[in-house]
Amino acid sequence: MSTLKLQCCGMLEEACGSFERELKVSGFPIRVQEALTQFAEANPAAREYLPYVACAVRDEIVVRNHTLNEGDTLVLLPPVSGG
Amino acid sequence: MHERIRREPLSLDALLTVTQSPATGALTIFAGTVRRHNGGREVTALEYSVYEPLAERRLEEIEREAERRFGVTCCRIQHRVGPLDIGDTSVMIVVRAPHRAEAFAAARYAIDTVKHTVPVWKRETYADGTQSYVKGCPLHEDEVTEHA
Repeated sequence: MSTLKLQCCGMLEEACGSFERELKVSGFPIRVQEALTQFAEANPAAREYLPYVACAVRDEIVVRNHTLNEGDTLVLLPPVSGG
Repeated sequence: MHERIRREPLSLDALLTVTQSPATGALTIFAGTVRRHNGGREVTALEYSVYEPLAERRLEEIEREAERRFGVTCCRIQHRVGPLDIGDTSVMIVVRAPHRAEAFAAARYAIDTVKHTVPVWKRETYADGTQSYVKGCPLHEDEVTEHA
């Protein structure tokens, strides 16, 4: 097993209980969509938000088909409300 | 370096200084401030959180796109994060251009795009002590910056 680090922004931090989260995955590489599916199973409170969440790695938004490698941190970005 | 995400009060004077240009005849300033009411509820305080690596990049991209699309001389944006009080300035946009029409248009484009594309989240505290995140805008597919 390997560990994927996640960061939960906005209301997701409240729903998941912390900004930094870790997810046990079978290994790398892993697709974003697969990581989200496993994250939802481990964090039921996050499920309602995930369909509307964009994902980022560092300063780039990535698609659900993007491949995550060891060392990547997956950032979960719920709908934004700045301004 | 022009820092776009700031935790301290925003400074209009600083933005006016860094954007000063003798070639421009129009200056548009937009400032968003914290409202006391939202959705029929009395707001007593507000806190913005941010995903800073992407927010800084997006704000810079909005500045460059406003300059390119409307031909203005410069556009600069600052967004405050952290706890804010009622009446505090949360976002400030300064546009300088040769003429007013493009200055107004660029400032409007900039604030509209900030609200829809910059990873910032607003949580309000209400008079009854409860808190809630403001319903936001999902980031769209055209914000995806790489191809799988």
